[in-house]
Amino acid sequence: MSLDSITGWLVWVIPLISSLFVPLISKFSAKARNYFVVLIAAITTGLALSMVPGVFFGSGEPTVSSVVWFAGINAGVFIDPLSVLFTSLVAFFGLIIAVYSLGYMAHEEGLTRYYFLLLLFIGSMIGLVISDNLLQMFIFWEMVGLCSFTLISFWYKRPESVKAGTKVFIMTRIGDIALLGAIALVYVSLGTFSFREIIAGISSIPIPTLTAIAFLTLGGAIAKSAQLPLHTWLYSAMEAPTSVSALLHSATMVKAGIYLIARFILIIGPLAAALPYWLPTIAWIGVLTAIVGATLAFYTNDIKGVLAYSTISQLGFMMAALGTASSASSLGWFASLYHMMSHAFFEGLGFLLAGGIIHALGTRDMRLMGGLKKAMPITFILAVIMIITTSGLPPFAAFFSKGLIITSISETGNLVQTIILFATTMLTFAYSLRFMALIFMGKESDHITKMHPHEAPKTMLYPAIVLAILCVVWGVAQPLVASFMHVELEISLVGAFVNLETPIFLSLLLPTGLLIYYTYYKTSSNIRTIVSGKNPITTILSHGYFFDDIYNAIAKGITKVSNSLGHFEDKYNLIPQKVASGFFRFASAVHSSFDVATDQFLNVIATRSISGASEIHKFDVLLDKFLSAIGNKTVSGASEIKRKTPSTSLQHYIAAAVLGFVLIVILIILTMGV
Amino acid sequence: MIEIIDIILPILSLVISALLTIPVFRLIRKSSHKLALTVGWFMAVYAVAGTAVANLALKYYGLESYSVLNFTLNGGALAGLSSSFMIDVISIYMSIIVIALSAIILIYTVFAINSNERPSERYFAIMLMLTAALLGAVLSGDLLTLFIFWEAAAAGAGFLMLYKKNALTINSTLKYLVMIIIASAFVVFGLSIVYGITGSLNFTDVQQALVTLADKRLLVIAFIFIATGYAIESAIVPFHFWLPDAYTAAPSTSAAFLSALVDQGSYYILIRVLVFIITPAGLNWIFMLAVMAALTMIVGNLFALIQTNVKRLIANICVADVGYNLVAITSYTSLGLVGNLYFFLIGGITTALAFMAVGVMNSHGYKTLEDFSGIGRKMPLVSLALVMAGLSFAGVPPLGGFMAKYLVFTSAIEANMSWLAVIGVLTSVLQTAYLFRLVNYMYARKPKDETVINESKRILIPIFILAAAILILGLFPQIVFNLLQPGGNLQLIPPI
Amino acid sequence: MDFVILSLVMLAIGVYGLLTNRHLLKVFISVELIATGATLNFVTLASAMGKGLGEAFLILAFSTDTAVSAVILALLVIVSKKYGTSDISEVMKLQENDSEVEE
Repeated sequence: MSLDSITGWLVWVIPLISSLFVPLISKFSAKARNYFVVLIAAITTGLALSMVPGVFFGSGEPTVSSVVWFAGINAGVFIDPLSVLFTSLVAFFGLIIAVYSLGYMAHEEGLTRYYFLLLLFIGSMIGLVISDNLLQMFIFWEMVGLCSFTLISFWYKRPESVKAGTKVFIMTRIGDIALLGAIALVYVSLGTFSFREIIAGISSIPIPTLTAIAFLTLGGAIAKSAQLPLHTWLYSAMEAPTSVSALLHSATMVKAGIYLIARFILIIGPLAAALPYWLPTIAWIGVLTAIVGATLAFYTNDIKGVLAYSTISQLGFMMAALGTASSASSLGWFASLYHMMSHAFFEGLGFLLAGGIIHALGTRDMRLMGGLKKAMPITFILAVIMIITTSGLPPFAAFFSKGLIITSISETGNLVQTIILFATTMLTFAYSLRFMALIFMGKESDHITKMHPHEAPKTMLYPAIVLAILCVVWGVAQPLVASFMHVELEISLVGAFVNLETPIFLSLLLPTGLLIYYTYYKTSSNIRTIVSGKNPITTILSHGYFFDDIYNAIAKGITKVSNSLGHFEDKYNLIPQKVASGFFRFASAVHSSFDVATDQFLNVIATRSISGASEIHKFDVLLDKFLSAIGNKTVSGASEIKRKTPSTSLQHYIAAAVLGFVLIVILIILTMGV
Repeated sequence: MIEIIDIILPILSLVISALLTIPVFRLIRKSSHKLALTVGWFMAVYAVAGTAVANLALKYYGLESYSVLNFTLNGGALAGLSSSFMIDVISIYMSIIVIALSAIILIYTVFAINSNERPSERYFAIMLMLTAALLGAVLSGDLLTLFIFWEAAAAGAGFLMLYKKNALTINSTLKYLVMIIIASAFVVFGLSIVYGITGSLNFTDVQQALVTLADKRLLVIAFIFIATGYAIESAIVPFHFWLPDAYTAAPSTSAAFLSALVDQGSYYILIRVLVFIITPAGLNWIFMLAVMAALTMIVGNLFALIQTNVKRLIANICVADVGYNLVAITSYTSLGLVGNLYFFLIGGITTALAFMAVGVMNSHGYKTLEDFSGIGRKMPLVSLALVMAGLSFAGVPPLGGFMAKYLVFTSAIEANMSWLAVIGVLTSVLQTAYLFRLVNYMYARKPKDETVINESKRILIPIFILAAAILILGLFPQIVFNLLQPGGNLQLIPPI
Repeated sequence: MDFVILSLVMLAIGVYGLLTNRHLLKVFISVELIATGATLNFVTLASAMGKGLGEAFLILAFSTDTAVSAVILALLVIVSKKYGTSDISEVMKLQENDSEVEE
């Protein structure tokens, strides 16, 4: 085992095991626990970063190390540029959030649970991206979902949190089922879970099966990465503490879908282009998500809502770029991952700042804010950096990454997609400006003067500053990143500025964004009261394109079905009962007529022997009597039955068992023949 | 070398201690340290029985090859007239889980019942007797011995349900007993025909005789009767109606015991009969069982979906679990069998855990889903255990339920029964839905009343032992596989 | 062969009786009919084989049957003493106002 592969094991095993010690250490002192978590996060980061040089100077080929886990299934690590990129991001961001939590979560209850889940998440997420087989990956995939669910419900005493957590879990679970289906198909076709063996055998899978696998995988990625039409959970997930939102729902966990697709493209290699409709579907989902997310971000008044929808939109960009990547050497593949990193930096920065602001003001409603520039100057400066980066203005990170994405899309020649992405970029600029204006500009609002806000504590500011610096320098690092990923870029750093698209992009960006901003606010009487008019567009936006309404309707439908299932249960119970009462009726009918018959028969014989055979007339009377007696008895018998129809379930049991017996007989006859 | 005494010892020790329990309890009742003495007595009992089982297991695993060993009480001279025992990896495995689960549930029962202060010595004696009967059933080597021990266990289960004599329990116990006696009659009927065909009841002899049987008409009749009988006892749809009623009416301690041991015992018999005696080579039952499995999974989960009583909901999950077990049997592969035996263990532990946790909540008067509103805040630890059980049912990694379902579904796919696996996965989604409804009630709703509840710490010990077991077995399934396949890849399915 | 048919008839009568009767005593008799029918069949076939297993089985089967029957009879006594009825459905109805239903 080489040094790198040992590191590859340690980097996820250490946080997972250490998480178990968190409750133990918290028994001694809360402070020791907090610093323990920071220490472990730092060690993890160190380990993760120590893998970078190996990959940087390596050949780009994956290093694999695996051991037998159970019954022929291996557990292992798969070290290649993609996994190391993600590992470093997760570990580094975990450290940032661990430090940030020292300040942000200082006055909360249940911190042992929080820190335990934090370490568990870091370990699981790294485990996800570094796994060398599908099964192990899926287990970690579920575990990060579980961490997400429990962390969203962190304030479990608030019903909304638990409700949101449950919603998130169920929605992402839809994707999990799809992914599980894909894994099962792979296993059925190749009999293995290991990436390396799948790569070797992928070409033997027939194209239709492979297409099904690809689309099911895409389903998993859509749910996890909050793409259309399953994007609504990400906004609900904002019930989580802001530090959690920054880590899970912006920087790392939601990127698992991107990782999945990127990995899938690596695995199937040149076959990606051969799959019908697969890549175009990805591109379209990404493009549509991008614009839908951006419009929603424009409308919401929730400070975290803007960031959540912005995340959705940016994830759409990454997806769209992946949709152009017919192989791992395409521009789109690199652009997507490169933007993934820069997005983690600027959106993470946004969340950290939002956390500080929520801390200071005690509200998430941006309409209550304004003029915060004076009270929180450092936050303001950092926010400016974040806004510039988010909008994709040069020379910060997103300018290069987003430029690459738009280049990759326009290179495919799809004009509609290119236009939509340009429009989204403008919208991004506009909602960023609105975000800025509502929070920092203008006069201080009443709420702010009441709250006397102050700058966030140092433990919260330093992580933000680190991210801000990364926002600034990450763009310039593009060639380094490209050679780290072992991708040959046709566009150089300088080329990015002079590339054909960039000037158009820039020239459109500023004026249009400003124009939107201007028209948007001048039509409303006051900057604080968001468009209050009732026009179709505001209705659509305030309902978030009706996605949640549709899902609620579906859920209601399901409830109705399950209610009617309740009726079905009653009916189902009635079947044995009917069979039973049928038997019962039959039996008592036979019984009573038999009784009457014997009675009358004996009567007849008796009468006959007494009065002799001559009295035929009497026999007629008797016959009459007999018939009417039968009638009477049957009537009384029937009423008796009505009164006494078996209502106990013992008869149901037996009748059901009789039906089951018949079922077994039929089935056996079907298999065996008579 | 294993002697017959090694096999009888665990059974005998439990029977004797069951008989001793009544006088011992008389003595204990006079003392002032009732609880400590009770726990001490049962620990001693299980120490002896556990040592006996461990002795058997170690001796067996110490052998050079893990073959099937047959024993008779009188040395085999009059094989027809003697009870015989048989051990292989499966019976060893089953006896280990029977003794372990029984010990944990008994300790829980001591804590749960002691707080209510009721006369309980007969109850405990029956529990020990039942454990002995189940051990006998899993170690038995011919259909007759199996039948006798199993009937003893099934009839004894009726006593457990009757712990409190009210209309509900009397009614459901009565129904249970009637069903059981019908089932046993059907089984006897089928066995008599099998005996008539083959002239023997020994597992191995019968299997050999059936494979070479030319005229299968009588065998078909026999199989239909046996299948009906055991289908009633293991609650396969549509023979399942007694199970939810009985488990709901029984006290939680009994429900835990029944679901974890008696229920699993009935699956064991299904495996023993279907996989080792009437093999598909003898009579092709695969299609029949597959249909029943699908029905059981669907009906069990649908009915669980619409329950409002939590205990009844879990009882319905027990029914659904039967379906998943059947899927594994249907696949008829070594992987399926290992998965099935793993599923036994996990399913037993999980249902027992759920019944235990619900029992604690019931004892405070919370019964329906509405009652459970906000219970997560009132009783955080017990709720946590219940949520763990729920997640394991739903198959969320890394809990044991995931690995169990994974193995079962993989085995179905391997056996070209993908449609069963699909139904299984879909019904699992349904399980997620109603279990999350439960979680939603427990945590997201406002509690109806503001009573503060002091959780009893004692009773949490057995509960959390089981919860930890689910987690550990989920992470390290190899523990179980090593028990089942001590020599690496042992062929568990008899060659056709 | 006659005995085999007889035992089948007993089985059928027993199941029929269970389906149509709610009186506990009749339920009990039906159950006994089924059990005895099955045992009879076993003995018949065992004696045809000429081995001693039939007798051994008969004794054991009777003992387990008797145990279960004893419980059912005991329940019957409890029901008739406690509730003054021997109808299962009546007991079911009583359960609603039975104070001891709750655990």
